[in-house]
Amino acid sequence: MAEVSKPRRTLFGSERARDEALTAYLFLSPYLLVTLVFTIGVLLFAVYVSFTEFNLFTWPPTWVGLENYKEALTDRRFIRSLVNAVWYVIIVVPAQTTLALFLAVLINSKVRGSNFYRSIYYAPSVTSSVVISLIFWWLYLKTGYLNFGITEALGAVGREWAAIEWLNDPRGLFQLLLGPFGVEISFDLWYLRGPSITWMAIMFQNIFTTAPTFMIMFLAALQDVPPTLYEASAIDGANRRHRFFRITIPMLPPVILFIVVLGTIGTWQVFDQIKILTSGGPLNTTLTPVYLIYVEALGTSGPPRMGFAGAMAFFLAVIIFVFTLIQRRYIESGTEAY
Amino acid sequence: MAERALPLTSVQEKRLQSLGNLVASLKKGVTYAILVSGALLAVSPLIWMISTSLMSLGEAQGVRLVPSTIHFENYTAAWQEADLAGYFINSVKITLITLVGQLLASVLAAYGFAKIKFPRRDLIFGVMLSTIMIPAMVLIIPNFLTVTWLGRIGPIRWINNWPALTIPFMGSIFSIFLLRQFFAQIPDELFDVAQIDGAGHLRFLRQVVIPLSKAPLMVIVVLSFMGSWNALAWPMLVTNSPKWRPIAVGLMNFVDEAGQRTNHMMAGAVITIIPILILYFITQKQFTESIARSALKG
Repeated sequence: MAEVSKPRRTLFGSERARDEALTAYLFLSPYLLVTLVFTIGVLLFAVYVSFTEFNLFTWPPTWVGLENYKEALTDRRFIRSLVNAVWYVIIVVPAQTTLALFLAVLINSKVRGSNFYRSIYYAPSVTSSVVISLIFWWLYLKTGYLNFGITEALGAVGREWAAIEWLNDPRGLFQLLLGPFGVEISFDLWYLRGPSITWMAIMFQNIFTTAPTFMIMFLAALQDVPPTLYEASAIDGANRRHRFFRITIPMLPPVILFIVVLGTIGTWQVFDQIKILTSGGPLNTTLTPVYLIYVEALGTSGPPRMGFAGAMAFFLAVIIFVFTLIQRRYIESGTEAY
Repeated sequence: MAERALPLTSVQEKRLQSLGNLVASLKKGVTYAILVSGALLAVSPLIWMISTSLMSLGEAQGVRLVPSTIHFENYTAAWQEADLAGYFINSVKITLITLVGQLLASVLAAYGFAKIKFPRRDLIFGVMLSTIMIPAMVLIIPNFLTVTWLGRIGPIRWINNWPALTIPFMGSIFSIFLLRQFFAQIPDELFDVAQIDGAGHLRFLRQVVIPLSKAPLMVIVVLSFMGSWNALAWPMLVTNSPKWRPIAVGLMNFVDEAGQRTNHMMAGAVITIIPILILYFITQKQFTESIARSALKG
């Protein structure tokens, strides 16, 4: 009896396991099908195309090996777009993270109606980028509200203000700062001019719309800090600032890491604002890698060059990946210090 | 002496206390001032957009904050000029199809990853989760080629039709991740009990898991709704006629055509975001909470 039932039970077991696996794959199949085609398949296809010259119409593409990659590394516009993106990342990510944390701490400090502030602050983030960009475009006009406001404010203290065309001003930050000292930076040295006025205007818009999302994440993290920690420190005589820097901040690294990584990935891929507001201009000072990839692949300025676009996309993906790794390492080692 | 000194110190104490109260209330005042001005700054673009949408053309082109008379007719004008009705219906259709597809695929997959045991489950999930790192814009052009090709070999057209606009968005690993976290917390014993009653996975999912998971499901509905309603680059690429173009693209076209008619433009913009704003303000409390929670678990 026992001899018969033993193999039977394992057979039953394995059959059940097989049934379970089959059910699992049935459950997963709709999702897997979509992802295998539109994410993984497309990714492999993009990698293949990046080794070819492909103009969207002639099939099959011509194999050119590493030519596109070599060209991308020497393409002036690509280098330019990367430099622009670096400015964007190193200004926008710290600014929006700090602002988000600051707002979250304020809302968390036992104010009345914190839910109200939270939902109000988040409202710009749910609005579509088309609409937000439209509003900012209007705000940034030469005859728009921003210039008007500054003129009025400076007029009140007796100063003049020459209206700026915010979305069409290629002058760079360092160029403006050094100009009064008689330092001229020639156009050949564009990389020394710093981010242009237009680029900074778009940065501001991005900070405005992204900070609230991150604020909400910080807020949740702050509310997760056990209140007993604060009570204990209060007994030890810690003041508010001490509590913030000694308890709150040390509790936050995982969230900060998450938000910085998310922010970096997002800022490296900035596209909608460029497409709607500037098309990469003026003088390529708002050209971004993704916008360039888009333009090249579709052939908006010349024949479509899928392969070249694919090679640039590959470099961009590598950069984003490396940034994520560095941040993870850096912030994790920062946590261990505590 | 002692009797005199005592009242004095208590007065001093009181003064000190009131000074402390003053500092505390000052701090509180500054906090509120920053919060309120921040809130004003946050909503000012929206308020200003609504305000401009109600102005006459002359007022809208100047710098004015409040309309002198309310011009509701801007809305009907924008609605007709931009043919927003058609785009609006397209957006509703696209959003609903995406929503239903994504919800079905995500619930099934999340349940599979959370509650059914199969070989290399965690490995497969990890690989799928890593696709989050792929920049979406990088895949946009190859995806365009894929949908063109699918339309050529398949029974239905993809370009300029609903499949291209909806099907690629049905596989959302983010939604699956959110749901899986939640499903995993449901005790396995519940399934064992259900199994004794003769229920399979599908029935357990339908009758037990889904009713328990209303909160994360709602987050996915809202997020997917927003993503689909606000999408711009992809719909612009895969449509070339108003037949299937969503409202974001319609608004972009209208902005190009409307030129200087800012008041109409803004009215169009307000119409575009009304569904999103309504959805957001209905669900905002649960929504912001779950967004934050889900983010922290990631």
